[in-house]
Amino acid sequence: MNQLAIKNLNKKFGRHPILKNLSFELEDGIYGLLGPNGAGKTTLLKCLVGIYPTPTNTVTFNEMDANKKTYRNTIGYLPQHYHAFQEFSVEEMLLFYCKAKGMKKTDMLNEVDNAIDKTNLETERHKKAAKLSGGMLRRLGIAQCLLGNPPFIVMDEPTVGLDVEEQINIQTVITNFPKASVTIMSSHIVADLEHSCDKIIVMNEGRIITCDTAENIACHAQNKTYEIPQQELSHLKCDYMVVKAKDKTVRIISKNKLDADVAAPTLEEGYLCLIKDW
Amino acid sequence: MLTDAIRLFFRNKLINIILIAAALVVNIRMCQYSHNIMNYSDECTSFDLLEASFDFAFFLFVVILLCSYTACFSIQQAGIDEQISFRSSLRFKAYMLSLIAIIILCFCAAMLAWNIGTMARLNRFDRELLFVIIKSCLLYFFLYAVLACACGVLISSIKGRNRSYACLLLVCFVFGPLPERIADGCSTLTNHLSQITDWFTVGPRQLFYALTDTKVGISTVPELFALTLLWILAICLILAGKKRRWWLSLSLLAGILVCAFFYSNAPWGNVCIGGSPKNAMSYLREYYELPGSPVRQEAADFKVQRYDMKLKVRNNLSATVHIYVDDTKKDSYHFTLYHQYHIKKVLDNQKNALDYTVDGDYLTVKNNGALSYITIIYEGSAGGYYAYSEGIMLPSELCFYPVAGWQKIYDEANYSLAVRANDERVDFRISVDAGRKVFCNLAATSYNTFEGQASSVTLLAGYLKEAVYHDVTIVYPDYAPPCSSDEATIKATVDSLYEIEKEHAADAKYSVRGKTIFVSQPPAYPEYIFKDDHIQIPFLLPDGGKSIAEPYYTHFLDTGKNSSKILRGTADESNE
Repeated sequence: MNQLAIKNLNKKFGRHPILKNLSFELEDGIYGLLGPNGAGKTTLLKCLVGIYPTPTNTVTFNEMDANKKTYRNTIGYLPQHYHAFQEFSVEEMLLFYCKAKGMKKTDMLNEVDNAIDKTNLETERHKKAAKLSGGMLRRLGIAQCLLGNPPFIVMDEPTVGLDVEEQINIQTVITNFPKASVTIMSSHIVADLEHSCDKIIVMNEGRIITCDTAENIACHAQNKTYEIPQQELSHLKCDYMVVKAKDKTVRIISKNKLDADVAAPTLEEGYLCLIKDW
Repeated sequence: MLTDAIRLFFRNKLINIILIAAALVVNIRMCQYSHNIMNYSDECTSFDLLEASFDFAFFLFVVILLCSYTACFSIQQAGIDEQISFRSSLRFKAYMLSLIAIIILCFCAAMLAWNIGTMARLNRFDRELLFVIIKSCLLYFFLYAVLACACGVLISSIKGRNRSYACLLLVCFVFGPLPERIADGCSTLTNHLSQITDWFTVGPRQLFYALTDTKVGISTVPELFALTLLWILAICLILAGKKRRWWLSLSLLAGILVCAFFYSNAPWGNVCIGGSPKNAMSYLREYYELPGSPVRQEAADFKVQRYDMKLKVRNNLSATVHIYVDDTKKDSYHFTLYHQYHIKKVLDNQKNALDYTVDGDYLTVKNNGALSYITIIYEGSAGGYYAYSEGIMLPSELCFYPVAGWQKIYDEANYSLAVRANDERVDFRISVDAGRKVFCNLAATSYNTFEGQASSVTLLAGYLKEAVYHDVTIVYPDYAPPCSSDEATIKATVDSLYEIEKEHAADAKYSVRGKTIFVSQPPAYPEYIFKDDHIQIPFLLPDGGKSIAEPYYTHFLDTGKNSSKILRGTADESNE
């Protein structure tokens, strides 16, 4: 069983605090990191992978401190903006990562084959990175995450900017990630995480609000989610937020009890209630 | 990862274009230079090729800057730092930089090979010149290119393409040849600009008179090594600062301070590049034309009978001079010693300290009543009148040894050193502890030891050779334009002098026989100086010596002046 432990993690840029006293532990599974823009998701992930230095033993994975020089060799990390060497082919790029991670020569080709297979990049194997589409490039990024079967995988917004089909492809890849690993992927798009994650960590303003299943998070919007006709919206005299508008009906969430049809809450609505502290 | 580095480097289209274009340009130009030198070998020397190869220093700088920027930018863009461990990232970058270092070394080797090959082809193999070439390659190609590489690495980490391009242009401007030229162009308005731009001029000095001095005394200026290292370390400090390794930052900072000290304060740092006329003259003007600068002229009321001088030339000039005077009972003695030499001690023959005062160039020594000779110990460095490990250029007009009386050193009418005409003949015994052969107008009794009677002493050392022809000694720079090292021109000059003597039935005391001709001009100096025992001229012309012979004899024979008088320039009566 792998374990990621964070104890009292604080991070400031200048005088501006980004992460405020975070503490949590995660074991094997796929975790989504959800939060609005500026919540500190990327900063948290960079602290977890050791890009930002942290005090000793604040971030540990299987008791290895994130500041150790070889720490990043044991994890798979897909940054928010992933680029590869434009002049390298997919295979060459993956081989490069294998060497960088200190793998044995005898294992490299197998690892590359496995990674290409899992990410369906076989047809692009010999194509140069400069010629890959955005989706293929992102798959390459995920492939390099999987090299060496790392027990800790971190992906920062893996589907952002991709078309729907590619998003689904990538989500499919992610759901096939090894179970015996801690995988964290961040997104500000709820749909990305709903079906692929075991648990979702909700973050806002540098703090962890909750770490729970999608169903439990949705329950936060229980009795706060309503469907009302659009024309009645202007008559509402309370705090509310429009979640979805469809035909002549809108779904809203409100912290006040309304005289309207209560709807079954979704993850998105539960997340919004958590963010708004309703 | 080395193969990956090679692959990444040589697959980059931009790098390929830069390297191929650079190789073509360098090859074509060097072939042209070599062709000229081979075909006109009578007019050219192997030194000309070395000078020509300096043209490539800035070119190489720009090529390496662009290559290192492009290579490091491609690593930066791929976000490798974020994806792999620090150690692997550093190792990969080191491989990339090693490739650039190999390119630099290949270029340096090519330059070295070209120069040595030309030397051999011209049958001018010379160990000293070989040393000059190696030092030049090390300084102007290798270190300069390493600086370019460091700049490229630093600029690649700047966010924003436009900002990076602007920084590349700025680096090319700051470390390129333009600041030196701009400072030179502004020199009539201010010399302070060159004091600033000198800190950035790490490549070969571009201005003509700077380069010519590589031929007469100074090969590479040692402080430029310190200056180039200073900038390399400064850039490394900025890069290390990003990684927050305090111990590395402190070490680099210490290195920078040491280099800055050597560049600005080391005694040889006072040497002007080649003693360029601009620098030496501007210093003289600035010092002597300032209101309040002491300028005196007063004949000595005593005579110096003998000078015993021990000079030591390392990074600057250190001297111990024993002065024997005729009257040891005077209350005080006036001497003139150029103000950039600082007096450490004045002693009597019992080594008791004597009281003295210094006002600019003017020294007054108080008699303690018991002296039989005066010992003056001093040291310093006089800019363009250099005396250090690379060469010596000390004309007597500089008063680099204490001259009796108060003499005017600067001639403001001619913006040069004032030529003294009234020095009495004195016995000199001089020994010079220098790293190379020294030439003097006095007769050499052993290596770098001279003795004789003269009105004044001039010392020279550097890339000079000595030839004796028909009892005339000629000391000339071996690597100057060919007419100076051409045996035929030397002979023609001496023959011409003798012919004119015969034609005019000259008095034997005017004869050039037994005299020394120094073909090596100090800066801010009159064109020709004819003294009782030596002649100082800037160069020999292939005109059969007429340019020297005619003014020499015109003055002596037409006016019948005493041979102890000094001739100045061509038929200048004002200095009689």
